[in-house]
Amino acid sequence: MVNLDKFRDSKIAKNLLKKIDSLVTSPLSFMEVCGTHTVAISQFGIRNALPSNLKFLSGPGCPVCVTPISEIDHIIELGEKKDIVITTFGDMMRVPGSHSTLEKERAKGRDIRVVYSSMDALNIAEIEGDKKIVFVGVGFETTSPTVAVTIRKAKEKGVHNFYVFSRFKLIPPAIKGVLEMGKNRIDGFLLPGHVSTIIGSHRYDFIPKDYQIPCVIGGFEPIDILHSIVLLLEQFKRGRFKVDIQYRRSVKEEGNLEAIKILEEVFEVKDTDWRGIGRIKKSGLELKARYNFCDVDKVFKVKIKQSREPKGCICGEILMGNKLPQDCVLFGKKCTPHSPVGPCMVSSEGACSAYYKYDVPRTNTEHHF
Amino acid sequence: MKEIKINLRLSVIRPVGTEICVQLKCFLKKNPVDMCLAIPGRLISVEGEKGVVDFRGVKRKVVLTLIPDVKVGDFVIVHAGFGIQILDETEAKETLDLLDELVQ
Repeated sequence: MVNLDKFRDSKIAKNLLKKIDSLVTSPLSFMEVCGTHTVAISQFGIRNALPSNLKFLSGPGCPVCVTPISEIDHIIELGEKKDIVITTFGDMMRVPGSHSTLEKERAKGRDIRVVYSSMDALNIAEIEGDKKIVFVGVGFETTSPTVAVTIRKAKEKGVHNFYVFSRFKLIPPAIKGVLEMGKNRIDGFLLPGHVSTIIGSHRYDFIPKDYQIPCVIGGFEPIDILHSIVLLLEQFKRGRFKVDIQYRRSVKEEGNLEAIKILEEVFEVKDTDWRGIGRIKKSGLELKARYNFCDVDKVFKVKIKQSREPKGCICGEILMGNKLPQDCVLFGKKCTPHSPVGPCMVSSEGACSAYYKYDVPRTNTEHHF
Repeated sequence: MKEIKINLRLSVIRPVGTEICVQLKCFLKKNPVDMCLAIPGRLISVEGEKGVVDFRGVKRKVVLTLIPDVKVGDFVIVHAGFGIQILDETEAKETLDLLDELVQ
């Protein structure tokens, strides 16, 4: 049996860091696309252990962070309708909309519940047949197949009070968006391990081919991340770029074919809005017509008032890799995980939250709790 | 700082045997969602489309529809209550061997 604890072995880590030191010869900026990578890089102390001329920028891979404020407002408006129960992953609860948050709405008496899985939401629908259960569908290719299974199950079982607010997003078009619109030069991508577990490696082929940038799909343990950095640096040194897989124990080149099949059965690709980036072509998922019966956009009409972004928040710039959390004037002062202003501080996977908790040293005046 | 207080208080009140359980609850309280935290655990039983996965002592029901080939005893990667991949132990071993070579 393989010992998975070795992926946290400090001896291997030290040797990999030495290797990284020897491979970095000029200043480089890599981007970690996935929020879980952002947290892991901070949490395991990797960000501060790397040579000072190797920087990591956070990308658009935190689901809560890339959800436009108008969509938060949309969910809150929905929750005000009679007999509607909003079910959501917990990260969404504290994200500020223009006027309120789901948490505040729940305190006012709206029926808003945190679920661990979309299947939990379907169970609620079956038990409480007199209510309309709306599941807030945010996330990337890792989450969307799980919800696709649930939607198919709802159809099979004939559950007619279960609805999905589909705002699922796709990672490869977002990377294209960052490359086309971002202001910073990116020398390499650490690609998400679990999105790639579903979609495989070929959908990123355009990055080395069209932009001549090395890519490595990495796992989430500290050794995985350090190993991925070595692989990126080696590609850089050789000057030949491709999509390399470090996280081979989970990622196959072709992806999870069963998951892709279910995704294609339930969803179709559409243009969608990303917070901080704007509209990206073919970067989101909507339900196919045969699932209209559980599509929030088809069943419920909602009027949203004018949405407005929180003043001074630069989450959008951070998601594009243009700025780092500590560049924001609100960071650690008005905006902390305890009273967040923007989504990147709310989400446990947000860059601001990770930097605040693990990376940036704080002075006494900045403690608010 | 608040969370640590809660943690300490609960461990004092509850008997020691349930401490791990309390710690887990505190962890879940602190991190109410693990939206993208896909973690591996071992599949210990299967019943229809669902199975029980053991994450080092914490057992959870998991939907197996996305990994139809899974067998009891396999390590699976779980995301939002669904198994999304069977962990390939041979590949894991190869990566570790490669690492040993790399840092020699």
